[in-house]
Amino acid sequence: MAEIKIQISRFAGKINMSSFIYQIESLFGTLLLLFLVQTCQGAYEIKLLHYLDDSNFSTTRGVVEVHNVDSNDVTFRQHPLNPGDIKQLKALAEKDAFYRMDIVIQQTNKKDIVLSTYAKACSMVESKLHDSFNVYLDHNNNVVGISLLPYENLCSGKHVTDADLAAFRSKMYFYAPENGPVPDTLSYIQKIEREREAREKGGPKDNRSFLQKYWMYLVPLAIFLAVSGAANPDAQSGGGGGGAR
Amino acid sequence: MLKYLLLAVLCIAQTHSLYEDQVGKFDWKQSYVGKLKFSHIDSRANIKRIYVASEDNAVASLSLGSGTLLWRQVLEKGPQGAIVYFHYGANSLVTVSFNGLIRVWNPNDGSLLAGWTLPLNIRHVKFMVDGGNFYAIEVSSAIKTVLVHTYKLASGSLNDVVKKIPATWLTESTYCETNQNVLACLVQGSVKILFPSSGGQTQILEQSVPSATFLTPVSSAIGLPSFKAGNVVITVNNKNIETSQIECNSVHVDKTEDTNKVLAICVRPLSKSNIEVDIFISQQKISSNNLQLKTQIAQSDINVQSCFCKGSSPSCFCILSSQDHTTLFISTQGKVVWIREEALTSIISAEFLDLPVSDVDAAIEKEFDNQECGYFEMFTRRLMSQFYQIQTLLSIESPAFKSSALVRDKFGLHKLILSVTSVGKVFAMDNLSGKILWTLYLANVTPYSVTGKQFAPVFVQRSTRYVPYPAQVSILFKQSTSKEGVLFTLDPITGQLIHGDQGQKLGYQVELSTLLPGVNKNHLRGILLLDSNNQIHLEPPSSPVPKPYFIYKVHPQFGVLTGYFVQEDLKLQKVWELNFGQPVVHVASKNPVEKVHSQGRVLYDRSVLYKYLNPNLIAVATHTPDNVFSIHLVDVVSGNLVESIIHKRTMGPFHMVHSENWLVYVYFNEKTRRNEVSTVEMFEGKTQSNSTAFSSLSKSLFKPILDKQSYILPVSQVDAIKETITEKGITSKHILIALGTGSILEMPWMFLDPRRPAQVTPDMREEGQVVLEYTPELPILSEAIINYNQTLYGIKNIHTAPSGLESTCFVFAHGLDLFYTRVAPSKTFDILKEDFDYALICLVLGALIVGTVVSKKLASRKTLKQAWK
Amino acid sequence: MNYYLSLVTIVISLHVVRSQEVDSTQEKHDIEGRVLAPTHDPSWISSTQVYIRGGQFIGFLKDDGSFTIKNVPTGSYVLEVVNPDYQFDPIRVEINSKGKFRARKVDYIQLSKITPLPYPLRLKTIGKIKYFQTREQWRATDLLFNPMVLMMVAPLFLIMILPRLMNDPETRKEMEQLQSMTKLDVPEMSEMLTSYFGGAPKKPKAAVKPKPSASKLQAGSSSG
Repeated sequence: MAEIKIQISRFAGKINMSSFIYQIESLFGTLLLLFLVQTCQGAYEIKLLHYLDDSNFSTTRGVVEVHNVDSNDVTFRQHPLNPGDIKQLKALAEKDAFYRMDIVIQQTNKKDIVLSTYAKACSMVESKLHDSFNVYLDHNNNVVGISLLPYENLCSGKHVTDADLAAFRSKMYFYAPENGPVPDTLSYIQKIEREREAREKGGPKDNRSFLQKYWMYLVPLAIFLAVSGAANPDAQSGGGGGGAR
Repeated sequence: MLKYLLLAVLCIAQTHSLYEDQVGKFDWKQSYVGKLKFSHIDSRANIKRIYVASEDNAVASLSLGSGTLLWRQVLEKGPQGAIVYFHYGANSLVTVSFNGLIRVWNPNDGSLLAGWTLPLNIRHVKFMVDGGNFYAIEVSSAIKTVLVHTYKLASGSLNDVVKKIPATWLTESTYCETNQNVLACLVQGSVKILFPSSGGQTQILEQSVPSATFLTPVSSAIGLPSFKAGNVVITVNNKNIETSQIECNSVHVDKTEDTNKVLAICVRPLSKSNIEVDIFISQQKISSNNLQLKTQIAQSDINVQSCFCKGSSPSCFCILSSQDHTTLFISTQGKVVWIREEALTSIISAEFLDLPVSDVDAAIEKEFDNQECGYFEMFTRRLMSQFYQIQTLLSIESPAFKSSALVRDKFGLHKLILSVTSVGKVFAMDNLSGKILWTLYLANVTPYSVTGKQFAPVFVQRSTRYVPYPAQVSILFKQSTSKEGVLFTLDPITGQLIHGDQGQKLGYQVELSTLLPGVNKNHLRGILLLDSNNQIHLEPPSSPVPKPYFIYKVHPQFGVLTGYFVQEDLKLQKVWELNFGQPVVHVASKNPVEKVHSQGRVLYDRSVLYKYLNPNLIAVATHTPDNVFSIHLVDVVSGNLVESIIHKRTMGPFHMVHSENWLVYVYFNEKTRRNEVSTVEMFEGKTQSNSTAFSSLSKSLFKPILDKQSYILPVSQVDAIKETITEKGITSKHILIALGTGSILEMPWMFLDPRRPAQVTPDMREEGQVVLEYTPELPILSEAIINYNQTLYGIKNIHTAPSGLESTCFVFAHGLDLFYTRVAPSKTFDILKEDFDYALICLVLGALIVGTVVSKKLASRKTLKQAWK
Repeated sequence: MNYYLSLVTIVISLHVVRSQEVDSTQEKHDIEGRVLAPTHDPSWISSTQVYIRGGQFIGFLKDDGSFTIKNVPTGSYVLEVVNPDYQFDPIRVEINSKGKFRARKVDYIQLSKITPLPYPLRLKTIGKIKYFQTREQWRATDLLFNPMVLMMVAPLFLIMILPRLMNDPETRKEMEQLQSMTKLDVPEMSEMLTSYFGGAPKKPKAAVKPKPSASKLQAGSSSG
């Protein structure tokens, strides 16, 4: 804020004017974004459509109302499958084909985004229509992608009755992007400072006595002398005796 | 802490620096200038040089006799540094760049004599150098005058007086050009000639050219400034206009020594390796010569850059520049003096290819090839091959086997570099010497362009390993006219095109192309092409497609990624779609030939951290206008977004490499105004999820653990990055970073490792593992610069390829210069070192053997003597 | 809602416009400086250039090593001197909107640290760039001072040479003298130690006394 005041007071040319405008517009931008985010988080609706055969016709599976992205608070309103649908789904599973889904995201003030995802039809059948959705967001809380994860990942050939395949049980999880790392210069500077201080202070640290510092070298020397002296007298007395004669 | 840094520095210095005597043994550098834009031949008695300015913003001096580069100065990158005017005269070389900078160079060594800026808008200004002055001529149709600003050439000081030449005939559509000291303007069917640099009242000459629509200056000898308007060549000879009609696109105007008649030299390409040079005097052809070229050039216009003529029956030497950027220096008597392949400055794809096995080895392979013949036949075949082997051993010339130097060597270090350039020229170079083996010119093609980068996919369908079948490489280009795809299939060893000169016209626009993983019975890998209607085409049509097979499409402008499943009948079924909403700048997938050797990292406490190795993972980088750079890790089979990482307030240029289980990317941090490198490494954890087979569809609910770290790269510009690659993946990986100052830095992975601890405790340093403490800045060591003092200008890309040795990796960098070398990231652990003392060992062994024998004899003699006592 | 949408578009368009305007309407300045000759060979001039942003702005050198980088807009730049053989430190040059230049050392870690440098710039080389590792030279001293070699060669020497020396009578006598001299000190020490750890003090005194006389006797006998 102080910067803006200084720049206004200076008033020199186009450059200053444009930077002043930039400051104002960035303020507006952030305020606007906050407002939009607030409103958006409430007015979210995700339409679920699925393909029960290999054609390009999808049928509505249900609607999800998103209340709060941070706490994964959503409400599912999904239609149960009628017997015809169940037969189609089982046919897909037998063919080892894919159960595809189209997801339409209707956000206020933005275009509808259509995303797609899929899972193996046999895993949908074997998990008895128990699945979860991973919704991926970008840094502006727009939906970037969605992923369908049936509860049972691998198809083990279990037999599932039609009664189990009546209703969907779904959960939704939202994932926001992570912040990228920044080089950690602060702790490095602190470390350098600490080392520099330590070096300045810890100069005259070596005030131990001479003996304490070099005992490691003196002791072996003493042992060596003692041992050679013990060896020598025996040799000497023999040699000296011999020499004396 | 500093002592750890010192240890790190010592380690890096030990691991990969060159010795001075290794210089030039396995590296080479080739310097190029680029497509010629302007040139001038200085043929005075003892100098004999050619001064050139290229479209790649380089000013250089070449030797007349051999075409080698004497000096070169590269001006500012990009369109701002484009050279718009070039003049040589009176021991100074003048260039004017598009950004308004006028520079005067010393032609002997390329140092700067003077430099100043032009305050006017370059677009409306023409230039001239006459005497010791530099003239900037502003043709202003608004005030109907020609304004002449004069500068002193030696100092750049502006003369205050602006000469005004009234020109009432100037209109908006008037087009003017200068040549030497003449300004020519094309106005409604007539050409007006002015002499702005002459003092006093300016003369204006006029010549009517009824059907002319354009005016171009033409290469002319000193004193004969000439222009071409339509089919008429206008020459200004001593303030008189002479015209001649020449049906030729590229002309040089000169004067014969004795007769003082004006002659014109015309160059016309006849075929890909044949050009015709004609000399006309007074519109009569007096000589015509055909020149045979050893290389292939474009058959469209050849531009005559400049010539000089001497002698009475005019014998001229000319510099030609063809459309495929080749520079030729020819003599009109019919000889080609030298050729410079300047197309090598615009390489867009490069591949390292294996050479064929030697004939002897091929014969051995042939023995075992056909298993259907009987025992007797195989026996005779073996005898024959052994006979031929003895022959080659005694080097007797055998008619069946031709000796060729292009054979694979023992360690697989001899390879062929296939380079495809954006002008449609294909080169094959020998990697050991850098020599060009063959060139091929593909006419009427343009490369594909994605996110601003040009590329032409190169598919290595078959290598030379399958002996009776030749190697096969296919290159996909776009036709210049119809934008449909055209596939060129060739044998890379000989350079022969298989389907003829025009290639195989596909008849559809290609949106996606990929090499199929499976081979057919001839060991040929097929190519899958997707056209704009989402239809799949296979080349050759009988190629096997694996089941299941997924492909993905990226729409870079909107940031939409779509995944498809290829069904039995080759129809596509859309299975997943992601929409980033932001433009995509880079997509990095892993190198398909890459192998990962270890499944995990062994930590200092003896536990294993398993790597997240997903072969279907790609990294997509998007950049928003408000400077937020996001990286998304996408599994292209399941459509899962594994992770997204965002960096705020970052700008390009971005570079990213993705390999094994890690990702390294470089960006410019706007807030802190420095280049930063970030690494991301993905792990599964302490237990492995599935040790036998990986399936993207078995989506377990876990997300890999990401280890992220960021470092400061203390350089001002990064041009390219690439990781080293080896055959088996045992050698550690180093990242090669091409810096803007012209060096290629080899950065070991241990410096970029995201798991560098903040504090190194003694128990971490067990087991001989080098663990470096985290420092925010990466060291730029001069020993780690692999191109030592060979500065490389304008590096666009680096290619790496594995060699036959596990420890060695090939590096090929291209841009304005070409550079090739070998790097050994873990030092050459699989071959003996170069200065291995064979002599010393032999000497010592010999001495010991002699000593043993002698002392044995002496000892036996002594015992004999003792026994006799 | 529409009002906010239009505001958003205005904000975004202003931003886009601003980034384009920066280049053309900002004032351009010239950065001047001089590179001090690293060597007497005049060929260094044509192989040296001063780069900003890897070639976006380039300054070429004149005969006396001076350079001018022209038409640089206001902002902060890192200047690097490119020379294949000699190393130069990069310098950060900041040009503010009033046309004032400030040159300081480049520090990527401590961004606000200002170590001012003279402007117009004076660039001096830090030294020749060391690209290569020197080969390890084989020196005779390496072989001789190798501890393994010393341990082998020295005893070898002693075994071979000493017996020859011993055979010579004069050296033998000298050695005996030396040994007798050394004998004095060490036994004393050993006796002292044994006296500390057990044994009467009288014995050492008695033991000490006859020894000097014995040695004197020996000395006497040898001299006599």
